Amino acid sequence: MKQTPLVLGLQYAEWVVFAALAYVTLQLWRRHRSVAAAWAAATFGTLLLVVVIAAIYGPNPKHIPDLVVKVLIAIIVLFPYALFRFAATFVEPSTFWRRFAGIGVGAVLIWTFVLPKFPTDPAVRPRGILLVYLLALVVMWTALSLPVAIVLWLRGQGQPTLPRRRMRLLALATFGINLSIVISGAVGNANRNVTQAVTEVIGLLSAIAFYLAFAPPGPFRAWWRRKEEASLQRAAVGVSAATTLSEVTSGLLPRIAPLFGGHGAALIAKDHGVIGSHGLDPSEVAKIDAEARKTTKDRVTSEAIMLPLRNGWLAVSASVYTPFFGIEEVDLLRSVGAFIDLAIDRSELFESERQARLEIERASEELESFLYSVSHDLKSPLVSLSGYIGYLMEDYGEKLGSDGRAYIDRMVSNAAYMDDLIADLLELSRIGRMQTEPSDVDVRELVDDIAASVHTTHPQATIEIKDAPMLAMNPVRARQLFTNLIENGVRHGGRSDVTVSVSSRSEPDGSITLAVRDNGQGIPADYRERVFRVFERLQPEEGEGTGIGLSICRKIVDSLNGRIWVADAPEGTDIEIALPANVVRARKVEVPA
Amino acid sequence: MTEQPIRIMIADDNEDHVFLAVRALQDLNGGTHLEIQAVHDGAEALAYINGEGQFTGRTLPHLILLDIKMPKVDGLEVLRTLKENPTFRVIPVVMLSASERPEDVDASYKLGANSYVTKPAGVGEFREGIAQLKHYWTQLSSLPVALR
Repeated sequence: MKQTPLVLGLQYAEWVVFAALAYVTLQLWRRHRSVAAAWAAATFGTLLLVVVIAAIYGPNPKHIPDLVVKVLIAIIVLFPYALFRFAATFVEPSTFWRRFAGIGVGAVLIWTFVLPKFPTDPAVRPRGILLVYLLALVVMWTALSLPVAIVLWLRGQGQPTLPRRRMRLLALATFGINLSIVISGAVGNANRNVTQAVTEVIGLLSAIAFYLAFAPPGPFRAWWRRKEEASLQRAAVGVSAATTLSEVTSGLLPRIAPLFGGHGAALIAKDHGVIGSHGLDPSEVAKIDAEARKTTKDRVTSEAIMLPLRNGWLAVSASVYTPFFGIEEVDLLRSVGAFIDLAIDRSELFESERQARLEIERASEELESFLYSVSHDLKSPLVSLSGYIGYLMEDYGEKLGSDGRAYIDRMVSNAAYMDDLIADLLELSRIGRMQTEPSDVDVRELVDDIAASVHTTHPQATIEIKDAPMLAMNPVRARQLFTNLIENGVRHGGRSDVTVSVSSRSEPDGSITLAVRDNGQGIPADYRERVFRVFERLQPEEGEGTGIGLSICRKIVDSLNGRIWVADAPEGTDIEIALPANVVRARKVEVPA
Repeated sequence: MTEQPIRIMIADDNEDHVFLAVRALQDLNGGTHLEIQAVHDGAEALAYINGEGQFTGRTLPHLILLDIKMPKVDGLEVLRTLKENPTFRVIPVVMLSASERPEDVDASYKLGANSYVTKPAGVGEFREGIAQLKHYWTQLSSLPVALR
């Protein structure tokens, strides 16, 4: 009886798929070198042999030598056994099943070779002992492959989509092959063409399912893992705003773990320890930690998927199925690896910035505390001095005469100056940190006032005010600023008849540039920036001035978002101050009465 | 004015400040009879209040001027001890300090200080400050009377 073209076509297609399967399982074995892969390769490699032999004798099956027939049948007998052993690498079968498989297959194999002769003509209906043999073969097949199909199907539950699909396809394929064997065994010659067509269709579908299970093509993988990929992307986006390592781990690990069928995940630090973990108990973390540190390339074991990162390792707990069915999941993990590295980099950057800021805050607090302490210790003797000066004046003022009282006056003003100095020291630490409400300051009045004070100590000095604006700033700071600048000019001019002039120039944008110029000895170019540092003096031997003055000036001007510098001048010193428009006030026009 | 003298205790480790404060208190005696007791550190202040050692049989002050920065036991600790004691807590305590450190000011009031005064450093200002303090506490305010 000739086979219909449909059946033949199906058969050829099936052979092609089985040949491809043999190739991919062999490749799998070459890559994995695992027991599971070896059994898979053995299963389909030998099946290929059947296909090849069947192809050779295909047109004329009657001429196949009996021994060859028996070998082919033996391979078919071994097929469910090899599948059973493959599945056994994941789930340890019970002793009963192991014995049953070994003894059952052994018995059927022996029986295969003991049987006198196999009818090669498909038209001959098996009878008698041959029928019993065929029944035993079908029962043995079913008994081995059905549990495999059921176990793979059930264990797919809880796996990520890709491994689950692969396991379930394998279960379906195993079931399908078994079904086709049962059908061809049970139906026999009745409606032979239809039966053959049905079994060939089931066989072909099973072969395709096997192929997809063992080597799912790229588009299938992409399609199956789209849910996980989207979820990973969400997790990755979720940590993109993370500024601490704990935000990175708490945002990422709980979402990653279930995507890979594991119950937990850990981010392992490069140097030592674990950055964070989720769902793992300490002993598991320690184990994964130790294991990951041996890993320089991606590694998948039945316990964990480990991915080396620039900043350590990412490890996700795995299942026994992961090394075989989920190995490609590493790609998925790798897709977020770079992202995690960036998140770690960023959070470490934030962390170091935080540390630096804390350090600065701490240093600033320490400085402030130190300044308070200094101000207290400096002020205590000043309280005493001032107190005694007061009583000296009260008790002995009359006896001191006019010179003596003048000295007392100098002591009084110096004590007051020292009080100011201590206050300045505190101010220096406060300027910029403590914002005060600005009020209108008339620079002309201010400079006149300062001039009167300066004249008492430097009667020959001249202080001019050419053009003066109104400023909106803290009046105490304004006085500090101009007092320091004018006194500097008078003190350090190097001549008693020094002239200090204050002028201003309005800029088109509303800002203003103030200049405090003198005709003294000037500041050498090298020192023009240094003079703004704390306790920096040009003439230490002179002993006048505190060395804080210009530092305070700079801090005051900085706090107004202005700029202060020593400008080039043909003669003397020219200190310029640029102040933004918001500090400048329009001068009230005074209407004569 | 009653005949009973007003007892003021000054606790300050700075001899000069004590001298100046005592003189200021005595100089401006507006008819009030003052008894001034000076101690030089926190431990001595507590010993005095508790009537220990050389201070056995002391009478409690009506007002305490307490410096903050003192050796052994600082002013804040003395203040805490005083204000935790049901007998001593009625005595008004004026904290005196050379610096107006915000933390010290807040801590003093939290512990129950009745006033916080920064020692002024200008000539004549300290005396003026003490005079105002004295006027306030001895003339305007009523001090606790049942103290022994």
